[in-house]
Amino acid sequence: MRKEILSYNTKEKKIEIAGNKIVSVKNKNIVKKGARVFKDNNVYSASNIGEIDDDKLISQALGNELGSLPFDYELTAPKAVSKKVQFLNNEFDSAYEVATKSLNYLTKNFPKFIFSGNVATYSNQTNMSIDGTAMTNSYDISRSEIIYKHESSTGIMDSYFESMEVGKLDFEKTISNYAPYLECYETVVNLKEGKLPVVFTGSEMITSKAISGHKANMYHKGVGLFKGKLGEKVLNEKLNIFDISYNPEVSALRAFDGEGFLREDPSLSLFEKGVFSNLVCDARNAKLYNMQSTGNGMRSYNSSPQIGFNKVYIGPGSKSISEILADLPECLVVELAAGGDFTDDGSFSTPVQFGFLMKNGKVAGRLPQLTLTAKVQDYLGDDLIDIASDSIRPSHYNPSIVTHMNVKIN
Amino acid sequence: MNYNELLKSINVPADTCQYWDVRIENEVVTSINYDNYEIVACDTKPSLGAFIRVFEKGMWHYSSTTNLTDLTETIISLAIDAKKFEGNKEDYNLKPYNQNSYAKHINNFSGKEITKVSIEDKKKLAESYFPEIKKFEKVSKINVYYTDKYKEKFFISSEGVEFSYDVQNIGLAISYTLTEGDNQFSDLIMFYGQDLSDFAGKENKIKKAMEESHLFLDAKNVEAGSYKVVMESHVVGVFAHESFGHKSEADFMLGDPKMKESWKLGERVANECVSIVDHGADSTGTGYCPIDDEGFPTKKTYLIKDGILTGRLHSQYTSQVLDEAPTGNGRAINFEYEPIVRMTSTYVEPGKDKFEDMIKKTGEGILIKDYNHGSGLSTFTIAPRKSYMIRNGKIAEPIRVSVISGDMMETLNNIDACGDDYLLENSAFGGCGKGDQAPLPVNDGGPSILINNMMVS
Repeated sequence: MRKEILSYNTKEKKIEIAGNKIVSVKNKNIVKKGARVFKDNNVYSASNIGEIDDDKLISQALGNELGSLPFDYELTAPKAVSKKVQFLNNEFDSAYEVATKSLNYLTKNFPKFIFSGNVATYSNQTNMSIDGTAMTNSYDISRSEIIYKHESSTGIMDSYFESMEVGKLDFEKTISNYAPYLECYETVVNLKEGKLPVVFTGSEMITSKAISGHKANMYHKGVGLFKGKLGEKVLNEKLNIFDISYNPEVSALRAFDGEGFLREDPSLSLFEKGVFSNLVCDARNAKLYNMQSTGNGMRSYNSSPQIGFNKVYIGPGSKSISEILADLPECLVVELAAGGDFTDDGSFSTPVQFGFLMKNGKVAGRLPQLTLTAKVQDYLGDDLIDIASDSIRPSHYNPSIVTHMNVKIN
Repeated sequence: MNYNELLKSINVPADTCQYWDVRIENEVVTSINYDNYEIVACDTKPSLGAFIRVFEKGMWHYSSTTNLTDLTETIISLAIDAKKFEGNKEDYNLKPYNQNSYAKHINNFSGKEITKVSIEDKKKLAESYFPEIKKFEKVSKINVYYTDKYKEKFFISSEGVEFSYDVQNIGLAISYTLTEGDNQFSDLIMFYGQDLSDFAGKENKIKKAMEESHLFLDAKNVEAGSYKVVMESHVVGVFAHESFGHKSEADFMLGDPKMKESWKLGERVANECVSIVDHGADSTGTGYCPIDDEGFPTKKTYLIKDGILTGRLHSQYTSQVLDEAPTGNGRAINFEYEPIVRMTSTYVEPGKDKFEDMIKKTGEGILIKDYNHGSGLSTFTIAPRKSYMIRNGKIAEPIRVSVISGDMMETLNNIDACGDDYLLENSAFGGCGKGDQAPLPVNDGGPSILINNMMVS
């Protein structure tokens, strides 16, 4: 019999800003705990929000016979581990101070804008105990999300700038990067339709379809954009994409997966020089498809494992984003592109609700409302211009992808 | 434990703070998942906790806790902390809690709680449809999901407002990918109910839906451009929610006096056939919210009536700041979150046009049958799953579409016809997202509509 206890403790301090005012202060300190017991080829489980004795939870799990699941796969041998990234001493003062300073700075320097959003700090602790072997992962993060709207705008919002730091918030860094964009808000550029260079401030949206078939249970069922092409070059050779379990420097903060699997090498290549290099897998599917678990068994304290990704990280290129943009006569910076999607064959389309035009690295003005279309196989293939060594937004850990897409003005 | 009694036992001295309230939420969720017919999840998830609010010096102070034994101490402690703040001087005189005291307790599902049904019966229900699905050989990846949730809410405030009510939602979803050679098509079939018996006899619906999915295996991609679009009724629901519902949430007006002028009630914003309503009174759907999480009863709020901007949605705070009547739309996703302005059940009222006449009137265009998701900002979007070309006033071949999008205001004015059909779509899976609060159960619906000039790509 194997006994697992997985618990989360999150302490949150959040300062809410609405219409240029701090309107609320929130405290949260909640423990969530789940138990799984492996016995006689069945998994028994139970969970609880709030403190509960481990033995009581184990007993509840064993009593949940009708909710048990069959299992016949190999379980990871537990290894003790303790990871810690902590920087918060007085987290409340830190969040409130940043919120006050940020708001004062923004309202003073950009009086034509209305700012809302929040500043928050989180102290997270994940503990897993497998038959008494302790695995702990503690990390503090701070976040700010500032939504802004120009006084002339009739929309809910124009856009936002956010920061997520595995460390204290560096508001000055965020705003010094963003200020030139706010200053150009009132200039709306004229743009010709056609194929143009584009960079998204967050790369996750444009890479999501490319990795959708990397889950072993999808790939082996013939589902995904690159079905049957494991080991083949399918994208641009400049493209390297990794699944990173733990590296605080790139905000990868999962020291072990939901099945207690501890990766020896936290970095697993998904695409290497454009080659579809590896699948990701949990313990159950490893048995099913004759693989090894890759430490991608994701679950919460109260749910069963499913294959999922850790931190999907784009391998950096050699030139900085500033150097790449300086060489481009025109490049669209996509700030807000909500609601886009892909068809099963990889055709991508998204409206761009907010963005800017850069001319040789300088902000030229705000984009009109437009729609971008492209095929994944093209924009991460031959149409890819370059991968930067850094991100266009300093608080985004993923290097920026600069590529071509088709632009249609709405 | 009797949570109404527990709340009544809170004993806070009157001068502790300007206002306080406590909301307890007690829920149990069941989630079952079959991956390629093998059970891979069967989770029962209980949750019990309280959200406490204190209003002092023009600011809210919140605490979320699972410790229900010292609620009085938590309120007093929050109030002591609140007094240390300078607060918002301009809001010192606000009374965002101003309402008459009342007590209302609603039990919709007493004796019919899904928590009383055995896991075995829930599994049997999901598995009963496997034989129907297995008839389709091109299904390469399939997941069958079952979920249910029973939730009770209990509330009390320093102003003498107390209420409790319960909600229950059950869902069954079949998500699958068809493959044939290099072609793939992913689709989803969902059912909703409030009792297990609501899910019986769905074989024929599953069969028809899966047969239709097969038509899309070799469907071509649409040529991007501007088209006339007919949306079927459940797509119209997400259109109403995304295009105008979010725009009607009054918190986006805070701090922006010009917005109230720009969004002046009484002005024409849509074709006169368009009326959009938000109302949380219907206990048979996922938009049910008879009393919001601040103690305000729901009411039928016309956002647009006959094309005229008629109302907007409020929390108590926004109704006070903007000096408009509260609407019962201050909602939180669970006890860990504060109430913010959210929709409940949002729908377009039916019109007079026959569906067939709208297709005929379209001539050349696109029919959107269902959707994966939608979003609502300056440009709203709907990502369709199944769409058809309309040619010569008739429904023609299936077509693959990534996204349809449009400027919200232009689109409302481009609505050319509203159908006489009507459907309110409920889902026990997912819901609405706003800020860090997702998913909130809502529902939406309307008649089929015809819109001129939408971007389709």
